[in-house]
Amino acid sequence: MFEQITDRFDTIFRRLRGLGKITDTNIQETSREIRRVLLEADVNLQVARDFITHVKVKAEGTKVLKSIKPGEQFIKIIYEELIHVLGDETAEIDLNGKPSVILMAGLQGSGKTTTCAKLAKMFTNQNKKVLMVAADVYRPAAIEQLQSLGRQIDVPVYDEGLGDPVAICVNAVAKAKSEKVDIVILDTAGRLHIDGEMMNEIQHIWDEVKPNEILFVADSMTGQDAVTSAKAFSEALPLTGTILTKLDGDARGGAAVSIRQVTGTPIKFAGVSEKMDGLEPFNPKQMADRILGFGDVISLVEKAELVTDEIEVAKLEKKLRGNEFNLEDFQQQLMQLKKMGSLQQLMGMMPGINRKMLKGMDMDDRQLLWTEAIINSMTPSERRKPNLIDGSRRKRISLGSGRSLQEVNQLLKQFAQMKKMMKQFGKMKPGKMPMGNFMGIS
Amino acid sequence: MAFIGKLFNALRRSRDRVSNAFQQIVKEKVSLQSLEQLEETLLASDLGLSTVDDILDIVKKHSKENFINEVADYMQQSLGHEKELEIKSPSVMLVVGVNGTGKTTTVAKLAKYYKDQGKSVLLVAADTYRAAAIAQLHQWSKRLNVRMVCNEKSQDPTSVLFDGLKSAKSENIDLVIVDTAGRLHTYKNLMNELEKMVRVIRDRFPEFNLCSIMTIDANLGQNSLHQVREFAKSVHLDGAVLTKMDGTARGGIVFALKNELDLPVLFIGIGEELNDLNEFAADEYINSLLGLKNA
Repeated sequence: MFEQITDRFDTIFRRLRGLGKITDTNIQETSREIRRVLLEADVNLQVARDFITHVKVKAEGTKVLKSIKPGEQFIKIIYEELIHVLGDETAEIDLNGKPSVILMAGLQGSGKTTTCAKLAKMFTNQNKKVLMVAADVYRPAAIEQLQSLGRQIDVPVYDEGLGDPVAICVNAVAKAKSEKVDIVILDTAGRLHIDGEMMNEIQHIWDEVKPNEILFVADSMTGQDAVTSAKAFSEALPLTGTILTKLDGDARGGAAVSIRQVTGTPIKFAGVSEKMDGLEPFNPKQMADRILGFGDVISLVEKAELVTDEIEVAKLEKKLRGNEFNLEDFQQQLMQLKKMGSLQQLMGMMPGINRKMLKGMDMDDRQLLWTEAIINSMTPSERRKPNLIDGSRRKRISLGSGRSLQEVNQLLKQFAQMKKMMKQFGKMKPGKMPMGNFMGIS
Repeated sequence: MAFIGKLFNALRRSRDRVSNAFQQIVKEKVSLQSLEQLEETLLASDLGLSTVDDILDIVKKHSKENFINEVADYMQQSLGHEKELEIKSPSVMLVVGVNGTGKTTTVAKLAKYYKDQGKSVLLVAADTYRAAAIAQLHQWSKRLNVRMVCNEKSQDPTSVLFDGLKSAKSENIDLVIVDTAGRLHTYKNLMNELEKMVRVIRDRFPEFNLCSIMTIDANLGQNSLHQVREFAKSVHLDGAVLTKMDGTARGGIVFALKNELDLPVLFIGIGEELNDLNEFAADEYINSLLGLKNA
């Protein structure tokens, strides 16, 4: 499904890029497509609709502009609007209390207890004194779970067994105050937003403790009903933010948009791995890329811009065109690639390359290192004229780089193939480079 | 009575909005506006775009006739007829799913369900990953008065499973229910671990019938399809339990699950108590979605 959406977006954007101008018709058409993409990413329909209205208004505003590339402009509008809807900037957390109290709230199974421990770990790393509070007295063994996590990360846990959750929280905060704890994290039971009794209980806790932060913990895989539950929680409690969990799955995470819109509070953190340090500040831009699901085209462009020197690029292009590209240039390209991030990450950003293709490939960043090592073991003249490299030179290179003879042969063969391909690319538009081949992927 | 009331209430919430939308469109006649209204309601129930498109096409095509029946037919066809899971003795049931979808609670409920049918049941706590998962299942096993096999010291779920099956074999247990760790389908190593468990059952305990049940959280959206697709690559899935149906989520994903992936929903979870597990009745669900009377 992921691939389908990516493909579809590719089609939309290809069409958009070819547009002479933005007209009412193509705004309409594109809006419909965008709506589908958003819905499939589990963005709530009402939220998607508002989003599209905004995009339309902005797009219509740009219609009159004599833009050279209206399609690009349209994409930019969509992308920027989505980032805006997701909160623009990474949000801060309020740690001004003495102690600062963080109340966690959410549905069953959203990941509250694990997230508590991840938060605690993050604060301990910042040299804060943290106390976790086991206020989930309903789910069997929830207290043991928090205690066990506490032992793992070496953070104390306050509990009173199966007592009254309100009293537990009040007592814990009092204890924290006397012990000069910096941050208290209250782990509450998962509750359904329509369970009046349980919602009352958490309101009670809030009322008695007056926490600095009230964080709604939500599963990033949540569907259309995200609005209903988020709304109910935000009506019952003055939420200060959301933590989005399980982003290490492949959910497109449209629920993030809905929750952000409905609660009107920022998404502050995202759970990105099973490990205890797998909690990161939420990044609206990354999320927008993910929801649109077309690969991180814009950051790829930005990243490439960041590391490539204009003059270098011009030089390289000239060489490519004249078919003078040699292993020395290849070496330089490899170094630039390394600056851009991991291969998997980079490939994921390339439009036209979908996840399915990546899955079987199992790219190893070490491959780059190995390739580099092989090239580094060549003499400058060998790099400039790979034809020089005969059998005994190959053996020397293999010994020097610590890679097998086959690998050296393979690299040289690939390079020869690449050069052949370059000839064909010579006819291509400037600015495009066949990157896949630089990575030693055949 | 209280129990029936709970089920009724749980389903009422799913019923109301969708059935109202259908009644509305019957009243107002099919128009662009009423269709949009219907589409909105169906999408909001997580039916997913392709199912919703199918339904809207049916309504449009039969706009002059009694399209409700056509839609009901389509839905019934999608879901097929109830399939009861046949539990031959001895059987081992793997309960799998993504983190937080309700595996452990479902394991307990299933144990109750089959125990009430007179089967001897043994629980295996094979979630060696999540903190206190064993303690959680242990509490259920005490409440159920069903024996549980675990190994607090082991990090290897397969070895716990092995012990459990060995013990079940010597005690002539009818059904072994295995609580596995929650895993995101994107972690290859965790999925491999699941495959290993299946292999051990098949190779070392061939006398046990293996069935695998996946828990699907009704609150989750279209990602459930990815989950099922990926899990099915590692273990043959016999059915699903749609959990947390006592909330406001309507679990429309059942159609796509069956239609696209041929995974039948066998049970729905409607609460946190041991009795809060119901057999999934497709016609009842469809009728309540469409606001039709049960035949």
